[in-house]
Amino acid sequence: MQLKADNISFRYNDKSPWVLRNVNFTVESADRIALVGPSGYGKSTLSKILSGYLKPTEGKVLLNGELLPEKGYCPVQMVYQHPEQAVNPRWKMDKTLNECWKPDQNLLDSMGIEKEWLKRWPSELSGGELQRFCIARVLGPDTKFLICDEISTMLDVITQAQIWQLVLEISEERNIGLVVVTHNMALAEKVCNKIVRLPEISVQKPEERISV
Amino acid sequence: MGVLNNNKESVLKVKNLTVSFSRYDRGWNKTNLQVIHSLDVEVFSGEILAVVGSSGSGKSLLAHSVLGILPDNATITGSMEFMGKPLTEKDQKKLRGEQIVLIPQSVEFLDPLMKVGKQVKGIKGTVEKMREAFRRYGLSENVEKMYPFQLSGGMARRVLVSTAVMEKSKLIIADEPTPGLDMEMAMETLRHFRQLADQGCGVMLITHDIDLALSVADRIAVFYAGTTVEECPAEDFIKGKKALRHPYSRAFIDALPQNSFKPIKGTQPYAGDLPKGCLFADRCPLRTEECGGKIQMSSVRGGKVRCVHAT
Repeated sequence: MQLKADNISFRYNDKSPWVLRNVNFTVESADRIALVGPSGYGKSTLSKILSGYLKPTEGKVLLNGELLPEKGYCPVQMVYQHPEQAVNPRWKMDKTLNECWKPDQNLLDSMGIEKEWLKRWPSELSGGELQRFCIARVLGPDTKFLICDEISTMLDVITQAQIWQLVLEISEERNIGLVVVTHNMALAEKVCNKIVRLPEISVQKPEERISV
Repeated sequence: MGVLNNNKESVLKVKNLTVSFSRYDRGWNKTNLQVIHSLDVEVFSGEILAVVGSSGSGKSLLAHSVLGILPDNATITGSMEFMGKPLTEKDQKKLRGEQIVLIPQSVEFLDPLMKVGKQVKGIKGTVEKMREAFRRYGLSENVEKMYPFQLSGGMARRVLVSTAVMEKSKLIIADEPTPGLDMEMAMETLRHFRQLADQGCGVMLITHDIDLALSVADRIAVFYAGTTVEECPAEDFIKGKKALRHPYSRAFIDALPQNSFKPIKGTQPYAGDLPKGCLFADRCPLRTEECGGKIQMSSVRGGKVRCVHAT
């Protein structure tokens, strides 16, 4: 499988400055790509475009040469930086977990999600525990690519290492391609097999944006 | 760095702090959830104390209890001293924002409907002081007139930090000032804290970025499940695993991506369901029967540790 950003440009409206300009970028299933760059270069915007949450202003996102599906389960899934903002505070955890597919007990065990957590509210779990739910719920059988936008920055180092070990194991087992947004170079080198610097693939620099 | 503590003034001394929240269970039944238990921590003038530890171990709650800004359903016991005098609720009100300042965790602590310049200036500050603080952190004058939503992550951090240097404060509590900043900017922010400490201020730096914190901090306090498990000079963390005292701190070092990146199993116990005795026992490789009893903080090799096996 191949996920391709084909000449993508993005801005919020006709008058606003460009956030991304002519970005070309390809991910294969075997790739674990670290997407790095200073703050404000559009790393998160690109993540959202790749996973279909935002429509690019110009260019397209192609999965094996076809556009991302508009309906049904999207094969490109994304995990956010703040798990506590990515779950419905009025749903108990089992509802959140089964939001898009039904993870089996094996997966829950290997993710270290305990049965008793399913009956709790999100406010009764720590960030690391919630992040496990957020990862488990996007690992459906149709997931082919996983975009991780700073998924471990708010977590302590032990939880961080636990989460990454899981993601790596599962992505290898199921041949899922990873795109990892991070500021931590040590982490990027440990987790990824390729490093892409956003300033090198996007023509647009934040300084130019302000002058527009 | 790492100068002996005995010639420094103690700015903040927290002893045996517990924080609990009362909340509704089923119907009208109320339960108490204790989230911080017998926590000790001390900050001296002219030094940076880095507070590290697991997510949800009560690091931010400690900061909020020192400032007295916990929600109404929180109960605090234990003692807090500021500059050698007990810190009462009345003092907290008077001192916060002047002698004690907080750099909050996120931009959401700013007023979304107020221009940032006005917010940083506050009630007591002057425009000159605010401009000086902005200049110090490389924020241009047009930033003054912006609203919080117009700031990028890095700018917002610098705005938050500049609120801390408006007054000549004695204690700065910085709650996670670095996430979302790239390496250079994060280092720059920490160097500012070092400067402030060198001018005689006490800094409590709450952070997950232990590798960055090590380059500026004098001492490290490690938190786990709402209590301090180890307090030691920063050099011990740089020296590595063998110099540390608590098995949790050692596991912490092991899990860093630049080291072996190997996590230990399990999760931190839930505050409503804590084990008796050592809170780390379930995940500890050194666990014995003695770990089931009450465990006190003891002094080992120039640091403090809460573990019966520490040598």
